[in-house]
Amino acid sequence: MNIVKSSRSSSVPKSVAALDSKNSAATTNINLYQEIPNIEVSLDDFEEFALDRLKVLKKLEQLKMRHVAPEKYKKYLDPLLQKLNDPTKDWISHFVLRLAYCRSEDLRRWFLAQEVALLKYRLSQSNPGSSSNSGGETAITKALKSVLPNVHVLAPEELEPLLPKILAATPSLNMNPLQVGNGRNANSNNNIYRVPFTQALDLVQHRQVFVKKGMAYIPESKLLSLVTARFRSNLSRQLALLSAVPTTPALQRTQGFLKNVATVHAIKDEYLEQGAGTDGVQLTANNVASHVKHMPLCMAQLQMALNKEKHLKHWGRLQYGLFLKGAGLSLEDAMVYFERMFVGKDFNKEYSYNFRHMYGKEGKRANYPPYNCAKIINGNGPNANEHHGCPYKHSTVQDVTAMLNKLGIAPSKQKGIIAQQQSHNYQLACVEHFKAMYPNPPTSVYANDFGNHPNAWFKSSVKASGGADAKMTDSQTIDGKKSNVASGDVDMNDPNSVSP
Amino acid sequence: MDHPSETDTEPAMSISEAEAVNDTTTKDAADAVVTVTPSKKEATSSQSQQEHVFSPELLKLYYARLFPYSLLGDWLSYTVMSDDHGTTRSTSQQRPFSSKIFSRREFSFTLEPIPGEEIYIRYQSFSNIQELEKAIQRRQPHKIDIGAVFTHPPKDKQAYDPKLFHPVQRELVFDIDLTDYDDIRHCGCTGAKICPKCWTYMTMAVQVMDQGLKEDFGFDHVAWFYSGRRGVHAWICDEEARMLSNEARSAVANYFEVSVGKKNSEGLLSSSSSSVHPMLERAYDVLEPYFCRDVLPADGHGLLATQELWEPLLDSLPAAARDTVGANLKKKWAASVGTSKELSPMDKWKQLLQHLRVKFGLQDENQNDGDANNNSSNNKRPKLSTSASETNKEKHRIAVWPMEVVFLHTYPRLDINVSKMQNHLLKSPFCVHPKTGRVCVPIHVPTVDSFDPFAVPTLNQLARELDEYHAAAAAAAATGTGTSDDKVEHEWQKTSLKSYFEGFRKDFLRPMQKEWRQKERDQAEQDAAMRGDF
Repeated sequence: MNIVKSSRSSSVPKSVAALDSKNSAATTNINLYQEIPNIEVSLDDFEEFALDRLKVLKKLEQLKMRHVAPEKYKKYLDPLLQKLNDPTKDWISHFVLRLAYCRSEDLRRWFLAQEVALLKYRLSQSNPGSSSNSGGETAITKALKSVLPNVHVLAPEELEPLLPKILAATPSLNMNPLQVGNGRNANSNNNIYRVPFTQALDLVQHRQVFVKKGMAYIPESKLLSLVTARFRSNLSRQLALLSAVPTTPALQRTQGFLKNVATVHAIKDEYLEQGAGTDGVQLTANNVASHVKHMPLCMAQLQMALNKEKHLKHWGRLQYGLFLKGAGLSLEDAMVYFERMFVGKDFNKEYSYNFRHMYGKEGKRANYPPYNCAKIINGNGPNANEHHGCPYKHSTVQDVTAMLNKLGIAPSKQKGIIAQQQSHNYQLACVEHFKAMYPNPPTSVYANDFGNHPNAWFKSSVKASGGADAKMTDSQTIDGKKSNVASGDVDMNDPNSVSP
Repeated sequence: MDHPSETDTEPAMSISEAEAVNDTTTKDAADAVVTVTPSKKEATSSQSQQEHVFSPELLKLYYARLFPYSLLGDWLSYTVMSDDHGTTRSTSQQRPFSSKIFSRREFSFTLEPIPGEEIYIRYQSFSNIQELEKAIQRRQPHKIDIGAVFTHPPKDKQAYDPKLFHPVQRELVFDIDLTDYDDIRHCGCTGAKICPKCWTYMTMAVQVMDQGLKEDFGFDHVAWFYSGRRGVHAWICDEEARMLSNEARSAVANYFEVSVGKKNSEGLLSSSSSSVHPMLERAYDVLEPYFCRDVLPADGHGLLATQELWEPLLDSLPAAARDTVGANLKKKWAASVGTSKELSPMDKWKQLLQHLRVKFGLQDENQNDGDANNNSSNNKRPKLSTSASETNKEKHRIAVWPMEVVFLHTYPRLDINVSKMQNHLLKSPFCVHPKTGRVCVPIHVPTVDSFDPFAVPTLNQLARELDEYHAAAAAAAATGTGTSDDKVEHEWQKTSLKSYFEGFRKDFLRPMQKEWRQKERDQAEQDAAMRGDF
């Protein structure tokens, strides 16, 4: 889009009317942002539209974090969405935020998640139940056709021979397609759509649909996920491409704004700097194991597995190794420690490179940051004999209970943890674990985002326990005052004071 | 991936370097040399070689005379050669073809100049197969890995902006290792050790995966290889497969991944349903006979042959069944141990299924199943009647439990991380495994049941076979009964590699080349139509 004038103009550009007439059914169409707007927009509008959209996206994030049921979103979202009712405004604001949020992986991930949530919400709103509006075509099928022009709707005679297998693969499907097959009942809501399997990866990988000769057979009820998946992959790719594009002079004036809009959500990688470590604790090869009690379950389980199996597989080494690095274990100590633990392995030959690489001493010498919760939860799940990942997500309740028992959490205190795990609030389960250990933690601990990063959890636990087991010299932070540290590492003591 | 560590360094080999090198240049002359000299040493060498399956000297011989460069080159070029049917081709002959895809392919070598000290070089690339051949002969890699095809030749990686240098295509690959079966291998093997009993797991894996890839995803060009020690690799070479994104690779791998009995197992059924995905149904039909033949009995993995194994199995029943049928049979079977009343493992399995059926009112699926002539069909898993039991979750779990047991003990265990990334390296076919000295030979899927990893030739066996061939040829020449030497185009045809490699060419390479030619013709016609000249 062109930002041509900075003078104030009416809040909606003139071209809107023309656009509206072009998309006559604009209200029932949902923009999947496949086309870049080529419209003049004033700098003020540019900023205002973006901020209005940002409010919607933030609200979506908040609703999700509070576990508000999607049925209740309407109440909270619609007042904010009012402002984006104008299709052009919606269109422009999306692209402005693309510019703002393409600049780092964390920003892109955040933006992607919220935009997908917004699309889902809109599609669910526009398609109330099975009542088919606008000539038998729902917003979802329309959207699908716009992202996947070659989608094929199975004719009854094509459907019939495949139907038993389609039903077996997609059991949630009600039996209605049978009617289509037998009675030639052209009820469009029971159509089966055939697409190349690469267009329905999410459904394919969870074996939720029938796959034959490279084609996936998708019932109407699963279309929503197809559309959002397609939207997500398109947007993800676009954002990555956009991030590589250098700023044009035309956009120069917007740089400050774009930067400010996006930094709101920048996640601080405070555990990246070498030696950030954990105040109050000096991790060495000899005391790693004794700090298990300060580790969140994902790390404690790796330590327990290490004790038991005398080995960790690739992802486990990475997750745990980087965590320990972030907690202040030096490369030298890490090498000593893991060599000692990997009994019966030729450590130098097989693994030392691996650990040096983690510490940025090999290969492209990147200083890899420890994994945060998002990365652990959304990353590869563990296979047989693997122990990485987030136990609340990747393990059964039984396994988690067993581990909590091992860590000495009383069964009465486990209830809250398990309840959160069962409602798939993995990070909240982890917070519950912390609360079970420290029912009355110092207030300064709560300021920390220990539910988002294993290293923060570790740090908070050390702090909350008073670091009594470490060689602490100064008085403790139990009362929440931060003035008790005399030395220069105040910044590290209080995460609030760390500025990126 | 395997990490070869120590190597046999004793240089007690029969064929001298001079001969080996000599041999590639002028075949006829070399033949003459070889037939005379090694025959003298043969008697001593063939005995001393028994325990030395691998050595740098043997490797050198293999790379100089036996490695099928032309097969690898033809395959990885993904381009039709001008002299495709040619019988005159030899590895030293320059071929007039554009090796564009080939030249952008990453190879990596694992060198071991000093025993125990490995050097790993990545991002190598070669403009054609002859260059690769030269590099292999010069550096004598103990292992060769094949990576992705990049935007530019990987050897020039440094010259390009990292953003512009990335993988563009790569075969979809699968890696299946017996190491991942340790918890269900009851034959005494663990880790890299294998025996004919546990090899049956690979037999099953190859069949299930090959069928799934072809039927569900429509891939036609799937090549299977023995990894040289304890597993198998699949290379899916259809253009569609080579072009898959990382996400699509993950999806295909996850599609085939079954998490029964593993950590975080959610079972085969989604919670709300009574049906099993068609892919799993098909896999079950393949696996169940193997389960009965190779897993249950004492001469297999003995799952129901000893009390130590059947008791935990009965304990794994869903609670309602464990406390009734499970406890009951536990007592019964324990009492019968060693008596004449003891049932065979197969009959125990039948009895268990029978009890579950009766106790929980499950339906035998054979009642409406046509394939009654399947000899193990009366052990088929009981199926739920779809009517009243729909709501009974526990009943579902009991009904599906036998299937889960079969899957736990037979379903392929994939190392899916290998499949997920375009630029993941995988050991090159035709390599030699340094620990076993065995060649990574192609596996012919229709006869995979009879594939015997212990019959795959080792390096010293190959050296011996070459010697024997030439001895026989010399003897024949001496008596004047000339054998038809002119049929031998490659030296590997003189050894037991012949059947493996020729099978690969016939069943994998030729059909793929046929398709390329067809595509080329279509393209040419299209181009001609565009230009308007016919």
